[in-house]
Amino acid sequence: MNAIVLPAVIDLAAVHSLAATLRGEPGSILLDGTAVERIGGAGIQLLLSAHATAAAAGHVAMVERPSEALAAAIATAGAGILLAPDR
Amino acid sequence: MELDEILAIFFQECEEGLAQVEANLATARDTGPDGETINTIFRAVHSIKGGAGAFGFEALQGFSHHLETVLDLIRTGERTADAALTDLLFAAFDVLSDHVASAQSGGTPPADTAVLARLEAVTHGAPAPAAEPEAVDEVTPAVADTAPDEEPMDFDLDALLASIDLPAAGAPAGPPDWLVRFKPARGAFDNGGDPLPLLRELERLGGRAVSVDLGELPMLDALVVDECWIAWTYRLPGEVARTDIEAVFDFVIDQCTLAIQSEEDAETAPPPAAPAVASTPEPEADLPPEAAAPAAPPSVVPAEPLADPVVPPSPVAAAEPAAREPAAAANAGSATIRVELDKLDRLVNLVGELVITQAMLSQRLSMHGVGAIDELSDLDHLTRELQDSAMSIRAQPVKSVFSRVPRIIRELEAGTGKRVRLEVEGEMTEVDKTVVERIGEPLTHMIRNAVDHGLESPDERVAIGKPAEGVVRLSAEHRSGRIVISVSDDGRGIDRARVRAKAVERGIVAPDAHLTDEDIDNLIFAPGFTTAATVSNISGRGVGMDVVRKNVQALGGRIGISSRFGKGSTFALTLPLTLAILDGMVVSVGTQTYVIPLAHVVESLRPESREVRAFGPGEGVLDVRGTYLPILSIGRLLGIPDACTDPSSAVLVVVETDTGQSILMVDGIQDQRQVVVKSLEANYAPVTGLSGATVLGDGRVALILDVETLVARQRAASRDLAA
Repeated sequence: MNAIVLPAVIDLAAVHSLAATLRGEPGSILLDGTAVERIGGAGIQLLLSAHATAAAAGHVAMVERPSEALAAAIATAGAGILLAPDR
Repeated sequence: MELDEILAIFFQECEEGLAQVEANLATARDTGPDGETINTIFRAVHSIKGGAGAFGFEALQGFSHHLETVLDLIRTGERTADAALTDLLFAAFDVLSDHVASAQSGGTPPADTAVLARLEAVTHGAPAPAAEPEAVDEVTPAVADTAPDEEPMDFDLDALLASIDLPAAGAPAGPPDWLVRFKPARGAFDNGGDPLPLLRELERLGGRAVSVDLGELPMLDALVVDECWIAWTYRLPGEVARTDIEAVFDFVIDQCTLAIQSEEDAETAPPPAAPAVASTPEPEADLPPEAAAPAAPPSVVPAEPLADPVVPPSPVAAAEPAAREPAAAANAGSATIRVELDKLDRLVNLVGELVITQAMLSQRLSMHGVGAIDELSDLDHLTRELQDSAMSIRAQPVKSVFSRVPRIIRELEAGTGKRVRLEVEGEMTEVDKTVVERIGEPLTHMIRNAVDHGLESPDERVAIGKPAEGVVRLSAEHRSGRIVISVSDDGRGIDRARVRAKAVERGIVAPDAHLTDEDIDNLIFAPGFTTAATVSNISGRGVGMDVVRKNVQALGGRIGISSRFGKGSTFALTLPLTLAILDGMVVSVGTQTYVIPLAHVVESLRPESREVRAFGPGEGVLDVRGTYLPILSIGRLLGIPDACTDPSSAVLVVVETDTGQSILMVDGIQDQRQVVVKSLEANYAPVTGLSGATVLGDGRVALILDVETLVARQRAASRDLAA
């Protein structure tokens, strides 16, 4: 399982490059959220799409070690599914 | 929509919000605060804060936040809005208004440290402290330093996730929870927009995410990352006012779909069929089973709305007749739209042109003997109605001006030590926007005058048997097609002996002048007149009431006084309802046609030759019931060669001006009618002695005389000649 370290800021400007990175990972991925300082709705949406895409292909995409900011944003967005194994 | 336009809407909403805050603060002060009053104030401040944050007005946002915190304590019952705290809220409101003004003008934020310190003290449990600006200014950090950008969050993910649980069975019954479905528009991320802060606001209200709807979310390969594809369902405690929830979405109301319904209603509606994902990995006992299922491939099944159909936000109340009481108030505004003033002005202008064209058509048809046809009469009627309707669109209640008065009164109370009770009547009386905009300054002067000169100090009042608290009464009413705004006080009234003595001392009148009571009262309007013993920042510089009269006359209005010594005074402003249409007397001078504003006209005369004392061609005085009034020949003043020069064969129009009565000499009177005013400045160039122009029914342009300037110039010329 590949791991990707999520960048510190995942705002609208950053989601394009992160999306490109995620699209380049066909299998299961661990998203290391330690460094995330700020994430917006577009970032959460991207992670949810990555999660759903992986699930549809029988893989896993999940966030581990979320920073406080990331965990708070995930909770706010009701996206707790990102934090749990999907299968 | 451009950012500037959005900003303009924000400031309009700030203005409305501030008006709400002030009105409700007054209610809280007068009748004691109730839940809805404080809630309304809270919501308005909350909206201002939200917008300020969105637009980066940090100082405004920071100050709003502190005020909002105190309001929150009051509405949750942790603090009681006693008199001291209400005073503090008023002080904070004033500073908030200044913050909004500074954000709008781009100026320096106001000094708010003193009030902030008092708010902070209340937040930390102290009783509302009285204002002590010097003491606190030194110790309180500036608002920018304390401006919070986010709600503080004691983060504990487990606790947070656990708290998403629904109320346990057997829990005490309260109002049913709210279920809020929020679906941002595709373009929700445009211009820096983001739904997450809105969700945070829902959390702050006690809300928790129930599910996130991924039904439309494309797979990674197809995802357009800068478009929003997801929607949320949030649960909020039933105790939260519905309007508070709606206020969260104030600034995105046309960029999302929003459905708010009580859980009870939701239970009677069909369960959701959307592939919504529960916000926690573990299914919750009473969540719909499919909501807790693992995410199905989102692109397979299109999302169905949750329990309640997703409706556009504005007709929420209409879609939910069972909605609670506050919804009615919150949605009352949905029947209105905002229109740019330019568009309205263009409409009014075009209607004005139509009125003129209609008059021309009517005149042309009359010349051909077909002026009496029914269709023409109908057209005339419809045109007038259209004109009235168009003008009424621009009409605004004087409330927007009256609402500034309480603050002025508070400042005056602080500055003079007097106690004032303000009574307001007729604040919904409507008048043209231009008039509303221009009466602010005269009104301020009148209020200052009433408090500073009119009312006695509390000690004086008690000594003469009056209540310590003085009364200033502000009223507006329509009377004979004009608006009359009165400012009354129950103070000392005009001391005519003192006024006369001061006027003599200042050389305004001769010591032996014979003056009626009315003459003496009117001395108050003489330039440089004041009876104030000391010059303060409130009054006493003698630049008050003469300015008031000038401003009022510039608006085509008049100001009158009635006063009883020891009982009080009333100043009454009489103003036209609009500046776009003017009641005028259409007169002939030589071959030219002019319009004299009817506001100036006292009477018209055709004198006997013995009543006129002529000094030369077109010059002289007329004996009008024992008073000699100077005759001004319009023909001579404006250089019209074939104008009548003999007063006894002309028509003399007596006019009232700032400098007293005078007579305008014209050849004849054609008509008296409403004319549509066209600006000379905008269409040609400013011309001294003329205030505008209009187009008559025969298509000719008639100039509107600036009576005030013409008379003042003639008087100045006569004085120079005499000197």
